Amino acid sequence: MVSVVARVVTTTVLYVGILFSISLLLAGHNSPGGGFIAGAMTASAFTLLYVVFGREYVETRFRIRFRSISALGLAIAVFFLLLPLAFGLPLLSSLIWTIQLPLLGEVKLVSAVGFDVGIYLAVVGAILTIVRRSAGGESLG
Amino acid sequence: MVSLLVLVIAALFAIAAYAIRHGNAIRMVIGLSILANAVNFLIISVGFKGDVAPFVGAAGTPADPLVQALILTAIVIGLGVTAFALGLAYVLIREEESTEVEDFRRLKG
Amino acid sequence: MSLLVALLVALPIATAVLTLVLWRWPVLQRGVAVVSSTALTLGSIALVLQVHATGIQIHILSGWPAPFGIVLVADLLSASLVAVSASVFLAALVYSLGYMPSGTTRFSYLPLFFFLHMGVNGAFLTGDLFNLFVFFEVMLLSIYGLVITSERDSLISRKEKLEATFKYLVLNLIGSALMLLAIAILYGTTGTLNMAHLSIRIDALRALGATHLDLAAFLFIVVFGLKAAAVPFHFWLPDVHPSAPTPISAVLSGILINVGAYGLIRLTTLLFPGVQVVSEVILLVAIATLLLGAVLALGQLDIKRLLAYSSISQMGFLLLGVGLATVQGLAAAVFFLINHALIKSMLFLAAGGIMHVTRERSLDRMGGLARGAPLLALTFLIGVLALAGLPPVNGFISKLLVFQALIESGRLVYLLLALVGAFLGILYAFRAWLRIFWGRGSGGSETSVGGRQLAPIAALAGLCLVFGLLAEPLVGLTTAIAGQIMDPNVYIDAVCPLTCRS
Repeated sequence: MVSVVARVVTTTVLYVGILFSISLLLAGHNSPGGGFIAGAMTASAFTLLYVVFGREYVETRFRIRFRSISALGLAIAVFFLLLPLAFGLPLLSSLIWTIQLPLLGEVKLVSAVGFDVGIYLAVVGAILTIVRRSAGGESLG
Repeated sequence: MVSLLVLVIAALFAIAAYAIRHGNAIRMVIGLSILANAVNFLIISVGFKGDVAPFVGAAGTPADPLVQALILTAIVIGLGVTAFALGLAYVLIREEESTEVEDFRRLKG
Repeated sequence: MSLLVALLVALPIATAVLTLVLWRWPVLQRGVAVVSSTALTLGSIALVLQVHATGIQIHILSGWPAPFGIVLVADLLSASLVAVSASVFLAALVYSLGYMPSGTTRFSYLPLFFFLHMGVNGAFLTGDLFNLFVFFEVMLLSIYGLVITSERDSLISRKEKLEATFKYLVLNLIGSALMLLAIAILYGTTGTLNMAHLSIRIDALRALGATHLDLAAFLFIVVFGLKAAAVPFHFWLPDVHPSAPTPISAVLSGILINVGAYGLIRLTTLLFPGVQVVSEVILLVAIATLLLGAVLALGQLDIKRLLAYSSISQMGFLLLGVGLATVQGLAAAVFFLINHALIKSMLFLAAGGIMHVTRERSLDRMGGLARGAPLLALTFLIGVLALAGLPPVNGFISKLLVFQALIESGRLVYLLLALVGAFLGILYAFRAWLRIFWGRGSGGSETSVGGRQLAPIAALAGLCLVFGLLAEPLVGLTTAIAGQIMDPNVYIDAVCPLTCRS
C-alpha cells in the first residue's frame, strides 16, 4: 500500500527533479551544475520511485536498460574527450562553435556540454543499475 | 567559523575511527565513508581563507576555488567506491551469513 | 606537445568503452582488445625511443599550461614503465582469451581490464599530484571488479575472493583518505599540486625550516608503501593476488605493486630529494620487507601464495635501491622494477597453467610434472632462477646491481641482510620448482593448456632470458633513467620552465 501523500509527492518530485536536473546539465559548463550533479539528481528521483512504489511497479512502466544507458553515456563522454585531438588540440579541450540560426540568432555550441551529457547518462545508468540490483533482495534477519 | 570547521572535522574523524573499529561489515563501510567526508572537510578548510564564497563578495578574502574542484572529484570517487563497498558487503554478508568481520575467517596472514 | 603521450591514456579508455559497447559480439570485442593492446605496446616502446632521442615529452591537457592545468609528462622513467606494463598487459590479455569463460568476459572483464590499463598508464604519466590520486582510484576500482570475476573451473572459492576484495577495499579506502590528507597538507602549505612546481616550493619552504612538510612525506610513504606491499602494510597481498583470476594475478603482482614503487621513487627524487630521514625510513622498511617476505615464502604450500610472498620479498630488494637515493641505487631499483614485472607475471601465468594441469593449488599434492609439461617446466625454471638471483637470467643482474649499489654507498649491514634474503630466495624458489616438477606424483600433461596460454608465458620467459644475457643496453637505459631523475631540475625545466620559477 502506497499512501496518497507519498504517491503525489513522488510523481511531482519525479518531474520537477528531472526538469531541474536537465537545467543543471545544460548550465554545467560555466555555471554551477554539471553532468555528475544532474545525473545524481535524476537518479535520486528514480530511486525515490523505486523506494515508494517497489521494483515491479516501476519496471512494468519503464522498460529501460540502465546498463546500456551507462555504456552509451561513457561512449559519448569518451567521444567528446577524444574529439579535440581530431582538431589538433590537446585532450579534454573545449571546442566552441558559434553558428547563426534563423529565429534563434547566434547560438554557441560547446563540446563540453556533449561531454557532460555523456557523464549524465553514465551516472544515471550506473546508480540505477546499483539500485535495481539491490532492490527487492530479501533482508537478512 | 574555521574553529567550528576544525571541531566538525575532529568529530567526524572520531566517529569514523569508532565505526571502522567496530567489526560490523556495514558499519565499517559507513565509517569509511565518514572518514572520506572528514578528509573532504579538511581539504575545504585548507582553502578557507575568509568568510565569503569564491568570487562572490569581493570585500572579504575570497576562498580558494580549486579545493572545491578537488573535493567534488573526491566526492564522485567516494560515491563510486562506497556504492561498490556496500554491494560487496551485502553479497559477503549473505555468503557468510554473518555481519561480523570476525567471522570472515577464510583468510590467513 | 606530444600526441603519443595523450594517446597512451586515451586509447585504453576508448578501448574500454568500445569493448563495453560491443558486448554482444564477443569475437569482435576480443579482436578490438587485442589490436588495441598491441598498439599500446608498440606505442609505448615508440615513446621510450622518442623520449630517449629528444628528451621529456609533455601533453598539456585542455590547453592550460603547467602549474595551472594538468600536464601529462613522459620522462624516461615513466615511458619505460608504461612500456613494460603494456607488454605485461598484452601477455595477460592473450592468456585470458583462452582462460576466462566467455560469459563473464563480455560485460565486465575486458572493459575493466582496459580501465585498469588506463589507470596504470595515467598514474605513470601524470604530472599532477591530485590527478595521481584519481588514477589510483580508477586502478583500484577496476581491480576490485577484476578480482571477484570468476574464471573457468576456478580452484578458488567465491567466498575467498569476496573476503580478499573486502580486505583490500577497506585498506585502500583508508589509504586513499591518508593520501588526500597528505595532498591537503602539501596544497595548504605550497598552494600548488603540479609535481614540478611542488618540487620547487617544497625545496624553498624546507630551506626556511618548514619541517611539517615531512609529515606529508611520511604519509606518502604509508600510501605508496601500502600499494607496494611494504612491511608493515604487506598483509593484504598474499590474500588478494592469489584470489584473482590468473591473468589478473599476473598484472597485480607484475605491475600494480610497481605503481607503489614508482610513487616512492618520485617521492624521493622529485618531491623530497635529498631528505635524509625519508630515505633512511625507506631503507629500514625495505630490509624488513625483504626478510619477512622471504621467511614467510619459505613456509607456503599454496603455489600462488608462495609467489605472492616472493613478490613482497622482491619488493624489498627494489626499495633498498630507492632508499639509497644514489644514481647506482636508483638505476638498480629501476632495473629491478622492469625485470620483476616480467618475471613475476610470467611466473603467475605459468602457475595458472600448472594449476590447470594438476587441478591442485598445494605443492604437497604436486610432483613429477616435468615429464608431461616440459615447456612449463622450462619456463618455470627460468622464473625460479630469476627469483633466486642466479645467472643467466635477468634476476641475477638486478640483484647484482642492488648489491653493487649497497657496497658503493658503504651500507655493509644492509648488504649482509640482503644477502641473507637472497639466500632464502634461492631456498624458496627451488623448493617450489622441485616440489612441482620432480619427485613422485601423478604428473599430468600440458597438452590441455592451450597455445594462447603457453605463448605469452614463453614470450615473457624469452624476455627474461634476453635481458639476462644481453643486459647491457637495458643497464645503459636504467642508468640514463637514474641520471635523469636524480636531478629534479631536468623534470622541472621540461614541465614548466618559466611559470614555476618566478
